[in-house]
Order: sequence, then structure tokens, then C-alpha cells
Amino acid sequence: MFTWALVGAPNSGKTTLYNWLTGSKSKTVNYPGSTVEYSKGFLRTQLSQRIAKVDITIIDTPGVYSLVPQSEDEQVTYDVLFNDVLFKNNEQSDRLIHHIDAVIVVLDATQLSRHLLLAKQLIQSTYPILFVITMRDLIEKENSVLNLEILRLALGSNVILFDGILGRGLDEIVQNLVLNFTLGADKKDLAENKKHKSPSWSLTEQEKTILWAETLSKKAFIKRDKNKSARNLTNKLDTVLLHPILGFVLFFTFMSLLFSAVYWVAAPAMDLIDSFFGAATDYVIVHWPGLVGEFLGAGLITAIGGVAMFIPQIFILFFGIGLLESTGYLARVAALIDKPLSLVGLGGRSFVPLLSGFACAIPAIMATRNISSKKEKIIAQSIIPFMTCSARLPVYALLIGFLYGSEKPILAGFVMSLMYFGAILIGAIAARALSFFIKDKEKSRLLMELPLYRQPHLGVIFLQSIAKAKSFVFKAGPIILILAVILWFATNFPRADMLQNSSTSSAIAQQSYAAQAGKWIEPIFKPLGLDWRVGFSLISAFAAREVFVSSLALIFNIEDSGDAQLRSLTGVMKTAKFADGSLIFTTASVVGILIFFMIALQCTSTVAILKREMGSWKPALLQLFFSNLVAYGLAVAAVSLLKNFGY
Amino acid sequence: MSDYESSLDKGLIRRFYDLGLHPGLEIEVVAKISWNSVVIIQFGETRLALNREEFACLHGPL
Repeated sequence: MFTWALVGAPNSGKTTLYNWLTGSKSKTVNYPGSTVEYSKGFLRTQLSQRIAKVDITIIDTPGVYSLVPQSEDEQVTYDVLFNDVLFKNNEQSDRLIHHIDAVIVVLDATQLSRHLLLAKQLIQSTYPILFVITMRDLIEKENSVLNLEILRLALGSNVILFDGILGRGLDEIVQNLVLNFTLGADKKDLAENKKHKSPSWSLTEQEKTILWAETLSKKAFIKRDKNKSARNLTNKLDTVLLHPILGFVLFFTFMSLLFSAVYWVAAPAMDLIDSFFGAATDYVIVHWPGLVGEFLGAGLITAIGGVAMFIPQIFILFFGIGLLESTGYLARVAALIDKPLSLVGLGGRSFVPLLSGFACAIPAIMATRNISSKKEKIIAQSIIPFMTCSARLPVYALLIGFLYGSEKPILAGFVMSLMYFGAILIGAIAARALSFFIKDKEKSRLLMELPLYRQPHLGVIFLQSIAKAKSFVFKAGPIILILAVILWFATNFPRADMLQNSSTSSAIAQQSYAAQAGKWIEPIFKPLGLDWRVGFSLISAFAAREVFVSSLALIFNIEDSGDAQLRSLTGVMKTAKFADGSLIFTTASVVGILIFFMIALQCTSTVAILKREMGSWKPALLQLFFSNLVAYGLAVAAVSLLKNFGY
Repeated sequence: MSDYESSLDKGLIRRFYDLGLHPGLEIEVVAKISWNSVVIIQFGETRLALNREEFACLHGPL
């Protein structure tokens, strides 16, 4: 087994090459600092069998500007190259203990002069090196020609041009590595890693290297048509998108469109899925009478359908974020909102992690690693869980749908936007409060490279969004399955005695184990205007937020009203009543649930990642406790207020 | 670089060099955004966003 590591500056195209080499689907974005942890994969079988003939491990590392690390993500790359940290934590250490056999240095052709600085440092680290120049498509578009021979002579290693879109140059990369660094090479042990040292340059030496790199880059580009440069388009777009006023207006418009589109663009597809699961439930119950049919129809299919119908929304959210990430626009927004973020103790570098929080808090919290200020990092990590992650989306969609129905999709979309902006406001308030308590005078650093704008690869974003939607289903799937079994059993039993008195499902449910246990927990949820059934669903949301919807669907689908309309969850919610005949789901109680979900920290994986990134359980558990306490308190206050106004 | 560099952390100065910035290099100020707290500069093919303090380190105060 041999190991090759990909090393290069941020946004140089390492992850794109990694995906080509390994067949992985790691996310690629046009934003510096998107990779914050190393990834490990194996050379694709097809490349391995056709060219390499040996097993090869590929390691993708976070981008670095030099071999002197200045942030946590850069430290990861440093450790991969110069320490054996990578392999100490390896679960399959027996099989995979080895050192880095070769380094693939990835250089962006459009930033060649600058990236040659890192190249020079890596040459001095004495690693066996292959240089790969990316962005081949861009330099071809501008009719530029690179003389690779000049670069080979100057760098003392082979140089290959690679096209990240079509994969041109991939075979050559593997052939070169195998020929030069694998065939006939003896396996070495971990101690070999320590033989390589990061060079330490004085500023004078570094200045000399900058001048060397500039000269070499000019020589290597034997033809360059500046009129066709991709920089021209970037410059034109920047005059609009970075305009002091128009820039903000456009940013706010893009975000509002994205958040509201999540609701109204997805609506037709959601209706279709809802109808499909409704028909499937009916079919199973009719054609499979008895307990098994009831469980499969009113239990399992209903629970799965409750979450599956939100797949279109998840897809649209990820597609929209993917579009923004791939264009190069996000780095501009980070710069644009540096000042407003500084008012709450954050900086422009916090923007992308916060935006990522709208998809999922876990990678978003990890993305804070490239924030240099400790204070800013802690604040960003603490408020990311407030951002409206995709797991909240089904809950919001259900409750907003309940409030406004399908007849007012535009208004519902507007309210959905409000939920997103409300989360931002809550996050801003929390950030301001935290910045007051965290005494750290270290200045927050912005210093951000603004990449060239690039045309989004819709196909790639489409496939990535499909993969995200699939993972949403598969993550929630097992939890829903277990919950379906437990809740169906708990709401349908004990049964034998009751069947003698009444055969109605509602009668069974009222005497069920769940109802008996529910009486104990109901006092907690009464101030929220909810009964034990919604309380159970709120508790189940701590397994995964989206499970709230399935749980409601399961618990409220036990009423045998005979009206097919009521099989839709919002229909059932509209008629659900307390024992005294009053409605459970009113505007007040639904707003209360929305507020609770907006603030509460229910995701255990997020708590675990907070602990890992903050280095202690204490802040993570404090956040868990206070978020849920504040969420409950504010929800109760809102419900009381709205009830007083007659809602 | 100006005298301001003496008051800034060495890591930032090192990072400027890593990015290809060095004394005597001609840079173009492309825009001042975010209520003038962020300066966009261009040199060669590189475009960078710097906050006020970082820019002052390069060129003196705004």
C-alpha cells in the first residue's frame, strides 16, 4: 500500500482532483478554506487496475498558503506531512501504517506565480513531488499557453496540466506517480515522515522567492491574451456585486429568494409525494386487514411519508446553497458583511460557516477552523446551531402549511423567509451577548482571497443535492422505523380488554400505554398549549428534528374519522382536540412550537461536535441547557401573549 | 510595508509574504466596502479583501 498526499493553496482544485482520483463525491466549492479536515480514499479501481497495479491511498488536505501553519485547518495539513498524527488515529492501523510516499502539489494556473511559493517550500521539504497545474479549462478559454518544460526544469520534477471538468491529464498523473515513486520503491515506516522538515524562511528569503516565482511564471506563460482573461468578467461582476449599496440589496434579494423558493418551488412535488403515500396507506389498510396492515399503513408508511414529502425542499435548499458556493460569490459576501458582523463580535470569515449552518450545523461548526480569532471562533460555533438547518425545514413547512394552507403559497414562502431571518436575528443577539462575556482582545482577521467567478456546474450541483437529500432520508430512516414500531405499539396497546368495550381506534388510543405515560409529561407541555401527543413528538425530535413530523403523523393518524381528507397531517391537526373539546393546534400553539424549534438545541450530534471543537463538554452542555431553557421560556411567553389576543 | 507592521503580529506579516505581497509591490485599491471597513486590493492576478487594520499594515491608515 502506497500513500500520495494532495497539497496546495486554498481553492486550487485539490478536492476536484481527489474526487477524480478516488471516485469520491467530496464537496467542491469556489471558496478558499472549504476543506478543513483531511479526507482519505483509495485510488479508483479502474485506475488502479489499468495503470497503478498496486493499492494506493490518496489523502486530500486542507489548503495552505505556506508550510508555517496559522490556523487549525492549516495545522491539519502540517501534521499530515510532518507528524504521524494521521496514522495514530487510524482504525485500520495494522493494514495501513505507512508514510507519505509522494506529494501531489496542486497549483492553480490562474494564480501560478503565487502558488509557486508553496511549491518551492515543498521542494525543500525533500518529499518526492509531482506538480499538477489545474484550471486547464480556464487558461484554454483565454488562449493562454503554458510551457511545462520550463516549469519542469525550474522545479526539478514532472509537471502535468489537469482539467478538473473533463478529467484530462488524470491518467498521466497516475502513470507518473506510479513510474517514479511506486515501482521498485521499498515500503518505509512511520519514522520516514519525520525525516522531512518544513523549511524555515526569513522574510528576505521569502521576498527573493516571490521574485523568482514571478519571473518563472512570466517565462512559463509563453502566450497570454489578457483581453480574454477570466479576470475581466470577475472585475465587471465585482463592480455590481461589491457595490457598497447595491451589493447589500442584491445579497438580501438572493437570500430571500432562496429561503422562500424552498417553500413555494417545492410545493407541487410535495403534493405529489403526499398523495402517493396517502394512496399507499389506503391500499395497504384495505388489502391487508388486521394488525399487520394497520401497522404497515397507519404506522410505517405514514411515518416514512411524513418525512419523505419534504425531500423536494431539502433538495432545493442544497441546490441553492450549492449554486452560491460554486460561483465564487460567497467570498465577496463575507467581505461585504464584515462590518455588520463585527457589531456582534464576529467577522467576515464567520459568514460561510454560518451559511453552511443552514444546511447542517456539523460541517458548519468544523468550518470555523479557519477563523483565526479565538473569540470569534467560539461565538461562531455557539450560534451556528441557531441557523435553520435542513432538519428544521420539514417542521417549519408543516406548521407554516398549517397556518396558511396551500392556497397562500407566496405568503407561506414569505413566512418561511421570516423564519430564516428570525434565526439570524436570534443568532445575532446571542453573539452580541457572548461577545460581552468573552474577554479576548485578539483582532479578528479577514485577509481573504476573492476567487475568480466561475460558471456553476449544474450537473455536479444537482448530483450533490440529490446525494444530500438521500442522506437526509437515510439518516432519519432508521430512527423513524424504530419510532414507528414503538409509537404504534404504545398507541395501540393494551388492546384485548378494550376490544370488548369498544373497537374504535380513538378509544384504544385514549387508554393506551402512550396515553397513560402521556399524563405524566403533559404538565410540561400544557403551558405551550399542547397535549401529551404533541409533547411526545417534541421529545422524539431530540433523536432527529425531522422525526417530529413523523411522530405527529403516527400519533394523530389513529383517529378513525372515515374522512379521507383527514389523512393529510394538516387536516388531522385542524380537528385534533383536547378532552374538553378545545382545539390543540391554534395559531398560538403553532407559533409556540415554531419558536421552540427555532431556538432549541435538539441535535445530539451537534452537541458532540461542539464538545470536540471547543475541547470540553462544559460549553457544549451549557449551550444545550440554556438553548432549550430559553426556547421553552420564549415559546411559553409567545403562546400566552397570543392567547390573550384571541389567537 | 509601513511602520504599522511593527505593531501587528508577525503572523500577519508572514501571511502577506505567503500571498506574494512584498515591499515595493504595486497594488491597486479596487473598492472600499462594508462602510469603508474592508478594502479590496488587486495585484497581478490576485484579488484580496482586507480589513482596515490589515490594509493599514500594507499602506498606512485609510
